[in-house]
Amino acid sequence: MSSSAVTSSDRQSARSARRRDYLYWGIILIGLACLYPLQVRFDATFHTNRTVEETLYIRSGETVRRLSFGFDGLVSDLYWIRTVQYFGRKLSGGLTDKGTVDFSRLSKDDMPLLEPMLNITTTVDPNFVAAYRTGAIFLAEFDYDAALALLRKGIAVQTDRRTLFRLWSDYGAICWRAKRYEECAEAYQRASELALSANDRDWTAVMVGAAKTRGGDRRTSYLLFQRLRDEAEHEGARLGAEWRIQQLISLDERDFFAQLIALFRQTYQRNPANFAELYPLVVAHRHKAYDTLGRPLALFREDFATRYSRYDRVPLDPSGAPYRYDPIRGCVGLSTSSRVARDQEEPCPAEPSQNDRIH
Amino acid sequence: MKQILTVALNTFRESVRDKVLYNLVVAVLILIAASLLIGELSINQERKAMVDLGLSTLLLFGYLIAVFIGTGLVYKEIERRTIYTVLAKPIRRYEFILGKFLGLSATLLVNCTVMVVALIVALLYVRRPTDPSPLGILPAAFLLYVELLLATALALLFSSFTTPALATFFSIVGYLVCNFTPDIKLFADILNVEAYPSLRLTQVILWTLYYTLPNLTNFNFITRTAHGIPITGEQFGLACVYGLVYLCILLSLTIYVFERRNFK
Repeated sequence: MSSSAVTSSDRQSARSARRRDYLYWGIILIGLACLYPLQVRFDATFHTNRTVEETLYIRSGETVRRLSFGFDGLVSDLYWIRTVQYFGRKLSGGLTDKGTVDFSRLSKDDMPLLEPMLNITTTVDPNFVAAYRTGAIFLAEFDYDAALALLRKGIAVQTDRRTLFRLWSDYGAICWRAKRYEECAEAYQRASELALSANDRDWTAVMVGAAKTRGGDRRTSYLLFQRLRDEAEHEGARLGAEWRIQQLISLDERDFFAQLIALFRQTYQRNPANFAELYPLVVAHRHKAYDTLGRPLALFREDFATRYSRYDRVPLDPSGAPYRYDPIRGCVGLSTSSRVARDQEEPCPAEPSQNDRIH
Repeated sequence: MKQILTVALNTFRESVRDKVLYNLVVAVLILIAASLLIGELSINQERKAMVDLGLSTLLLFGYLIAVFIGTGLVYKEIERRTIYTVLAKPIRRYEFILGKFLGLSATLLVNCTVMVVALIVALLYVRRPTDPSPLGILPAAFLLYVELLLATALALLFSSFTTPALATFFSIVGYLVCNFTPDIKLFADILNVEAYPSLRLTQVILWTLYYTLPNLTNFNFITRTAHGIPITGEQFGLACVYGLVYLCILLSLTIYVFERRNFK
């Protein structure tokens, strides 16, 4: 065989090999291009959505921890990310027209997997503080008990003082929202005992007093705020305590007014028309006005002349603003200009203004 | 010693030729992708997720290398009959085994070092002022390296008397069992031997297993490190000593088996 014949045969076989390569690549590319329309067509044959149902195959955190085989940190991260995604996805059910979330449109039943997923995350990695804290905030939107249980779980396993302070503070905040003031005060008390800085100690102490006030324990509130006012290292905390004491004094003053109004009603079978009509009773009984701790109320004693100096006999509250009297309901409340704290359920709420009525 | 180093160097070169270190590219890509994505998904838990992912990747890839390379180390020499050539030279069997072990350990060291450097860079990228120093992961990474050395020694032991397929199977099962050891003790502790005295034997067996099987959880500080909880000097020291003791046991056992092996 001549060399030219060999070269020609080589060229031919090389060409043939190249052609085969083109064929293979053609098949691969066409095949890949076909996959998408085929899958779309296939999915369309199902009447219902084929999206995998939201399921937790393993609900026990302990089992998941055992099955993580040393990769527990990674597994807890995966569960945490899954929890965040789940919560975020479910929130879309409560979206308003303005793009904000209206939690009243959502219930515990809308997120059945939220609690188990948080439970797994924190069981696999008991030190995952963010899962306790943020998870409790998620849960508190629907289920206070579950949120508090999650925080208690975190508190039980943590030993770091700063972390425990944060968890107890969160516990107090959720109790406050849940209107469990006794529990709230206790939680803030624990947080205050664990605080590392004077600032933290002061604000948690303020919260203990505030919770006690809201819970109706005015006596303890007085004592707590007075101690805080005398001992607080930060001016802000001291002023906060003063403000809260002012609120307590005002509450006692309004209670005394309520007693006088009741007395007036007994005598005249009607409510007094205004403060001026009540004034003679105030003068007659002001020596009986005491605060919760049994001390004379300044409004009716040493401050009487200054705070009762208005021509219409409207007394001034501790912030210097006139009290508001509602002759229809026969109750005394704070005026809109008052700076007295009013986070308490207002016993004598102001009537809606004309503007409010129009709206 | 020279013979050991020669075998070690050759084993290392063989690993490089086998493109074992290519896994580093994959690992680094995972870390970069994770550093970009995780921040969006985890609500300010970037650092924790990065450390978890980075150190878990190190452990997983290291373990795969240790098992799949380690189990073939001796068997391949026997299969190719190169063992005859090697042992015909002035080299003792224990030197051969130690050389193989050190060679693979060097491969793992390069692997771990590159991954840890990549992880530190990724952590610097996502770092916030309140985060602990990225260098804080070094003790945990070192202990994972010790764990990988144990895995290598275990794979080498299996490789010295059985086929790579079985050795791989044994190594993987070994890893799973050795991660269960704390549960073995828990199980032993909760057995009600007062009510059922016959369970005493089971309890003793379980306790024996707990104290004799390699406890891999001793080296796993990934989660604690991710939370910035430091490893105490005592924990670090004890884990290193434990690893060293177990390495001596496994390597001695491997040499014992290999010394008695008939290659005819």
